[in-house]
Amino acid sequence: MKLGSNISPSSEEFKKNSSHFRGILNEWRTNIDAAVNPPIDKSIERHRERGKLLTRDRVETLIDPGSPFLEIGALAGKDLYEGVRPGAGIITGIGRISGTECMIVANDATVKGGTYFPMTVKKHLRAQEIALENNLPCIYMVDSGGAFLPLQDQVFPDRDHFGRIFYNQAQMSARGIAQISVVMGSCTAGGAYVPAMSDVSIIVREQGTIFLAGPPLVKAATGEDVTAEELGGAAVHCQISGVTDYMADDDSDAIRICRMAVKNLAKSPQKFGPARETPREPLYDPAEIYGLIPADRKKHFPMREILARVLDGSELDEFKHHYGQTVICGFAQIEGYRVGLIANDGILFSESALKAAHFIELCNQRQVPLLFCQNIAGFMVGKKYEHGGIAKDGAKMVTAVSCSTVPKLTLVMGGSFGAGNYGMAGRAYQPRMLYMWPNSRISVMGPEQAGSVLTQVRSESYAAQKKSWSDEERDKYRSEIEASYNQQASPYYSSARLWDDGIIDPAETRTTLALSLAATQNAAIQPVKYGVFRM
Amino acid sequence: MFSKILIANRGEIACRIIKTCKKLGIKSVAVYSDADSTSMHAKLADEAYHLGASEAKDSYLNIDKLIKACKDTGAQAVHPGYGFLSENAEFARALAKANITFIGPKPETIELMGDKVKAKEFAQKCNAPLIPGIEDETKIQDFIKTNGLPVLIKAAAGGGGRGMRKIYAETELAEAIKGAKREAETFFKDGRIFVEKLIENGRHIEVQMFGDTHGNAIHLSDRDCTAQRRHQKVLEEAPSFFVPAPIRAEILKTAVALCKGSGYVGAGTAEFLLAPDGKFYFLEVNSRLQVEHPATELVTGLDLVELQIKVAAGAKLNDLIQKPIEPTGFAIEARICAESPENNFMTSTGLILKMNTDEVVNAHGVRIDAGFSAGDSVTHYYDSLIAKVIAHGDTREDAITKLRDSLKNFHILGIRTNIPYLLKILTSNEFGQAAFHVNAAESLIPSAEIQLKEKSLAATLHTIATRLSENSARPNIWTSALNWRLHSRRIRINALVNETETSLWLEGSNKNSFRVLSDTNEVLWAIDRATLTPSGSLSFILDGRHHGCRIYTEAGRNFIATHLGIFEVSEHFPKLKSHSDQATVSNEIKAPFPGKVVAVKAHKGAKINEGDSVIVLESMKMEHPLKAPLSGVVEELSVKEGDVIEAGRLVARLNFT
Repeated sequence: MKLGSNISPSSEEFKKNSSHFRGILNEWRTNIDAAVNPPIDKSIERHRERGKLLTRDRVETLIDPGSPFLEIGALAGKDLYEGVRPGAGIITGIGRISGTECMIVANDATVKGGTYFPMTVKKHLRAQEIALENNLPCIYMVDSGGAFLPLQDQVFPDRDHFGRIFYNQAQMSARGIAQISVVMGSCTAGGAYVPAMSDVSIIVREQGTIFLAGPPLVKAATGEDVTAEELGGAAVHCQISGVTDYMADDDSDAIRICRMAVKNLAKSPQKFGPARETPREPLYDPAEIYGLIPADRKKHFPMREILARVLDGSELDEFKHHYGQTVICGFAQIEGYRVGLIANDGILFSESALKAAHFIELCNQRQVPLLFCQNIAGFMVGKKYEHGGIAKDGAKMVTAVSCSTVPKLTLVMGGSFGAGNYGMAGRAYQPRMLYMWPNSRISVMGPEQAGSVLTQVRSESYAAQKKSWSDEERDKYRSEIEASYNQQASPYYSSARLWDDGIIDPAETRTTLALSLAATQNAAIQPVKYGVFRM
Repeated sequence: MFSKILIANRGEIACRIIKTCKKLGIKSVAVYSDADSTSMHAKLADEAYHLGASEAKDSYLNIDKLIKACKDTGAQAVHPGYGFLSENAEFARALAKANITFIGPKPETIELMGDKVKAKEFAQKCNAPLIPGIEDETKIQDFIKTNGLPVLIKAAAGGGGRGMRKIYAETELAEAIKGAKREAETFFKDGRIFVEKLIENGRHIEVQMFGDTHGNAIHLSDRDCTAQRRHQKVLEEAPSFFVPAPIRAEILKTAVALCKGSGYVGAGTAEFLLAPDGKFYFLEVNSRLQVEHPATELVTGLDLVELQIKVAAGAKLNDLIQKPIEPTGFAIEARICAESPENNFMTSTGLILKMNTDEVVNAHGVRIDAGFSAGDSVTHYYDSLIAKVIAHGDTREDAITKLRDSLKNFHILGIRTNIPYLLKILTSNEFGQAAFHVNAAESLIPSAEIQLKEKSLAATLHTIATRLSENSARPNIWTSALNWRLHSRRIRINALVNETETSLWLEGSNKNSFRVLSDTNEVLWAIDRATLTPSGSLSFILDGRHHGCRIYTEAGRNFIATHLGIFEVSEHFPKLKSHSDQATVSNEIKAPFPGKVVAVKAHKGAKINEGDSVIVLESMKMEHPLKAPLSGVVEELSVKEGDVIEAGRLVARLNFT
C-alpha cells in the first residue's frame, strides 16, 4: 500500500517548519564538525610532526576506498570533560575493510594522549557490544596512554569499566569474531592487553610501544634504566617477546598490513535474514521531512507523511490498519532491506500495545528485523485505562520487545517519554542501533509535566511539614525543574552520555538505517523464546 | 612454386607471412630464439626451428644458422619480413649460394638502396628530386653556410631513424657527429654519415612499388605516414589524402621510375618528403615489405606477401595484376607498441595478461596483425611492436573513427602500450588537417600535468567501478552508498596509477554524480550518471559526453580500461614524510633497465656536473645516457664498455659536492 502525501511544500506551515529545522540542522552540523574536523591545535601538529596519521585519516585509509563509514557515538563526551572535544578521544564505527564489515575502534592521541575518560570506556565497550551482536571483526588502532588517572574511580573498577574491554576481546575471540590490533602509539599498562589479547597484532616501528609499566615506573620499582623502545618497542615485541606479529614501517604500512590481515580472515560473505530487494527511492523527497516536523512541539507530528519519505517506494504493507491506530505496524523496505516497522502515531493504548506485541511476534516468526520509529509521549493514563489493564498490555509489548531476537533498530524521531520509551525499544531493550533526529527529546516525562508533578510533590511535602511557599517561589521552582528537564531531554545531552549511537540528519535516515540493517545481517538470528505474557 | 618457405623473422610479421603461406598451401617454417620458444609465430607455423640464444646476433641475425635451418628443414625460399636481415645483401647472397630463393630484391639492389649516398646518386639519375646534402664530413661547415640551418645528420647505411640527429646550432655539431658515427658503427657496422638540409613541417608520403623478374615495375598507390614520433611511424594511411592530385601523380611516376630503373624485384617502398610549399624530395627506398603494407592491402584488396612469393617464384606482374590499381576507400594502420608513453616511451617488458584481439576484430571489423597474445612475454631483446590495427572505411573519417573505437576497446593488460598516445593523435584536431606534419605528433604527447590529471580520473573511475562491481555481485548498501559519511560525502583517494602516486578528493555520490578535486581544491573532473551496466562496464558522462570503462583483475593486478587508455591501479599507502628511511637523491646510479654499456664517459675520481652522462647504455637498439643527478666526483665506477648489465645494477657511485 502506498502512503500518500497531502502536504504542500509551498504552504506557510511547511516553510516555517523548514526554516526552523534548518536552524536545528545547523546546530547539528556545527556539533559534528567539532568532532570530525577539529581545529588544528598543538597536539595535532605534534602528532603529524612525528610522522603519524591523524586518527580520522587512519580510519579513512583503512576502509575500502569510496565505501561508507558508519560512525558510532561521534558526540560522546560532548561538554563533559574540560579539554576533551566531542568524541571522547576515540573514533568508533563500522567500515568495510577488504570487503568485510568491521568494527573500528581508534584512539585519538591528540585528545589528552588518547587516555580513557568514562565516556571513552563506555564508547569502546559500546563498539564491542555492536561487534559482538553483529558478528563484526574488531580492529583496534591503539594509540593511548590508558586510563585517565584523575578519574580512575569512574573508569577502572566496575563491571563496565576498563577491564571489560579485555573480557570482551576474549569472549569475542572465543566466538570466532576476529580481534586485530594495530599499535600505532602507546599501549601502556592495561592498554597493553589490547594487542596482547588480540588474534593478530601489528605494531609500527619507532612509534608503537607496549608495556605494563613505562620507563619511569620501572625506574621507580626496580631502579632499571631503560628507554621506551628497548622496553617495549616494535623490535622487542616482534623479535623477542612475540607480543606482536607484524612490524610496520609507519602508519600507512600498518594499515596496509591490517587490510591484508582482514582479507586473510577469509570471512564468509554469508548474510542472514531476508535477502535484499531492489532498492527504490521514496515517492517524496526525504529532505521534505524538514518541513514536516512541527516547529511547535504541541502540533501534530505527521508520522505517515514522514514514513512516506523514509520507506522504499513510500510503500507500507500495513498490518491491522483499523485497530489500535495510534501505533502503525507493517512491512516495508529501506534501500531494499526488509523491515517490520512499528511507528507511533499518538499515545499508546491497550489495543496499540497488543497490536505491536502481535506484530513483533510475526517478525520474529519470519526473521524480519524490526524498526521502531519513536514519537511517544507514553501510555494512556486514567482510571478507565488502568482498569482496562493497560499495564499488563504494555507489559506484553515490553515482553515481546525484550525477548525478540531479530535485529531491532530504534529511531527517535520526536519525543521519547516514559514507558513509551520501553515499549518502543529504548536503549535498555538493546536495539542493535539507536539513532536520534536532532529535533528529538528524551526523558522520563515532558518538562511541563515534570514541573507540575515535582511542584505538586513539594507542595504536599511542605503542607505535611506545615511549611508554606509563595507563588513566586513555586513558579521559580517549577521553571527550574522545567529548564533542567529541557536541558537533559536534548539529543546532545543523550549523545554525550551514549544513550544513543548517534544523531543523524533526517534526510540521511534511509542510508543510515540501511547500513545498520546490512551490518546486522552478519550475525545469525537466534531462536526466539518469550517469557510469560500476562493475560 | 615453392612448397616450403622459411620465415627469417618473428612477431606479427612472421605470423602474417605464415598466414599467406597457409592460404597458398605452402608449408611454413618458423625460426625462434630462446626467448621466443613459446611465441605465437613459432606455434603458428607448420614447423618451428630453434636458432639459438635470445640475442638477435645469435638467432635472427645469424646468417649461418638461418642457412642451416633452411637446409635442415628443406625450405626452398626465405621470407625475411622487415628489420633483421631483410635488407642485408650478404644474407641474400648467402642464400643464393645455397640455392635458396630470397624473397626480395636482388643483392645489388639491396646494396644500392641501403647505401644512402649511392641511393641518392641513383635517384638523381632517375630524375627524383633530392634534399640538398653532403657526405664529405670536412665540408659540412661550408654546406651549412650555403644551405643554412637546421640540418640533419644521418648514418649512411641506416634506416628507421637510428642515429639521426637534428642540428639547430653549430655548437651542437661536433658532439652530434661523434654520436651519430658511434651509433652508425654499432648498428650498421659502417661509421659513415651524411648531412642534409632539414625540411621542416613536411609530410611523409611513400609509394608501394613492385617489380618482377621480367623487368616490369608498377606502383600500388601511395601511403601517408606523417604521424611519427622520433622518426618512427605510428599511424599510416593509404592512400594519401592531403596530397594534391598533380603532385601525387608526379610522386607515383617518380617511384615507378626508381623501381624500373633499379630492376627492382618484389615489394619495395619509395619514400618522399612533401614540403609545405608542394615540393617533394626523395628520401630513400626501403627494399623490403614495410610494416605498414596492410594499409595498402586493405585499399587494393591485394595480398602483398602473396605477390612477393609469386614474383620470387618467377611470376609476371601483369599476370598477377590485370588492371591498374585504383584504391578503394581509405585505410589507416596503428602500430601498437609495448612502450610507456608516460615514461618517455620506454619499452615496457613483461607478461601480457590479457589481449582481446579477437573481440576487437569481431566488434569493430578491423584487421589486427598481432604477434603476441595473452600469456606471451615482451622481452627487451627485440622491437617493441606487438600488433597492428588496420581499419578500412569508405572515407578517411570513417576509417579513423573505426580505428579510434577499436583502440579504445583494445585491452592489453600487463604491459603498457602506446594506445593512449595513438588515441591522443586520433582525437586531436591537428591530425585531421593538411598542416599536420612529421613533427606534429610529437607535440601531442601529453604534458606531465595532463597525465597526472588523467590518472586522477583513472583512480576515481577505478574506485567507483570496483565498489559498484562488488555491489552487482552481492547487492549491499555497503558497496553502493559511495563516499557516505555522517555529514559529508567528501573522501580522500590515494592510489598508485601506472606506478605514479595519485591523490585526490572525491566528492558526492547522490544521483551518482562525482567531482574530482586536486589538493588545491581545483575541480579536475565532473562525472555524472555513473552507473554499472548489465555487461559490467561503468558508464558515465564526462564533459557532456558518454563514456564507458571497465575494470579488470588479472593475476592479482587491477586495471581500468578507459576512453583514454588502460591504467593499472593499485592501493597506495603513502610513505609518511618523517620516516627515517625516507630517500633523498641517491648518489648511486643504477641501470634503469637491462642493456649494454656502449660508452663510458667518466672515470673514477673524475669531476662531474649535474646532467653529465656517466655512461651510455644501449637497450632495445636505442642509446640511453645515464646522467649524474647532481654535481660531484665519481667515487666508484663499476661497469666498463661492452658490459651487458641487468636492470638495477650499480653503475657508479658519486660523491656529491
